Amino acid sequence: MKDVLRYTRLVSLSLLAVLLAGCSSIQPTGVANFSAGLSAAKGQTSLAFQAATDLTSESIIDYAASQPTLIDTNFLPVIDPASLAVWDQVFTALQKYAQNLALLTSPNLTKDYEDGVVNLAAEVTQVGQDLKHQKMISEVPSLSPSLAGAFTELGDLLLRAKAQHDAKAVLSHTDPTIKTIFTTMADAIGTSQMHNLRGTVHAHWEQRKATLKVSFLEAKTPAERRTVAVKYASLLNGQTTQELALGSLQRSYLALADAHHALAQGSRPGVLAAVSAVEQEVQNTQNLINRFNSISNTAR
Amino acid sequence: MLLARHTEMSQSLDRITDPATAKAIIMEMQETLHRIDLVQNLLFRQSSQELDAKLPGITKANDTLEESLQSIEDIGDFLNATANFLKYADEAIDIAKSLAA
Repeated sequence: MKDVLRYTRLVSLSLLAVLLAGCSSIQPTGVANFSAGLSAAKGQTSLAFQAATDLTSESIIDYAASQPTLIDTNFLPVIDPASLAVWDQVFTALQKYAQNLALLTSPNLTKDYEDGVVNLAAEVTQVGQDLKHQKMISEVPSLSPSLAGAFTELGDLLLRAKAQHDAKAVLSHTDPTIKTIFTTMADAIGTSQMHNLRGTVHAHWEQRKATLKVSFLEAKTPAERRTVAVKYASLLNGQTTQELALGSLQRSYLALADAHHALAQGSRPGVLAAVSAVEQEVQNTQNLINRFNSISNTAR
Repeated sequence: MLLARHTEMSQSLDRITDPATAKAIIMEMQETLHRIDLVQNLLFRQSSQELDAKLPGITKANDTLEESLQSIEDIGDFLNATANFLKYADEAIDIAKSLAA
């Protein structure tokens, strides 16, 4: 009997192992890194939008003040709060999605099940012993260690196979939507300094620099000209840093789209490369944002 | 086009040495910048609407993932519930034993 059980267990596990090996599994580290990259991008997006709002709002007030009358349309923000709320909602939904994926591909996924089998085996043995003690049964029913072990392993494999199947199906089905979301975000930031938000931010810096160019022409002494030149150098520093940060943020979105696609494709080298690109770009963006924030407000 | 025009005017300042002319260009740059801001506002709204339209797709994916997680959790819960049932059965046997004694 024991041999039959052992044989059945061996065959079942081998079969499942072959089935599982046949289809590439989703790497938990890949999902975890995607999730971490997503959270970082959310925070960086918020900081980048705040910095862009700070930069542009001053010019908006300057323009409104130069007009004969005060009208609401002269105060339209470059990034409106309602749209910001949508970005936040999308990021929150994506974070939840990544967390659920991480749970479904986690090595601890079947812990509850394993604990359940252990508890059940212990209780079956305990009840059996009590019944025997009461002379209600002659033999103690129990889950033999080999059967309980096989049951646990088989169940564990089946549950993991189901989880992997479900996660892969969702990853694959959601991939086009994820790609559209990140591409839309990347486009909204802009592919260069002549497009979208990057273009607008660039124009605002140019406007500030232009004002200093006039001050320079009006300066009467070398000392006054030097003061203007120092301010100009600070503006250049702020401009370079903010524009680099926005460019890096744009690439982070595209890297996240690539990472998700690689996860959906199940290609191990693809996931490693894409996740590494996300980590690098996210870190680069963070460094630039930190550098930008360290530049004094007067230099911005 | 507006961005290109604004850049063009900004670059033209590099060749101007007369402050009055430079000021006039700055005023024109400011008008262009205002229009750039208005367009940017519209573009950002438009891209946000596009993102908003994709939200249901992510919500649906989340529902599917949560269902899958729940079904796996349910199996563990079932086993634990069965073990708990046996624990109560065991306690019932103990009570019966003490009553019989």
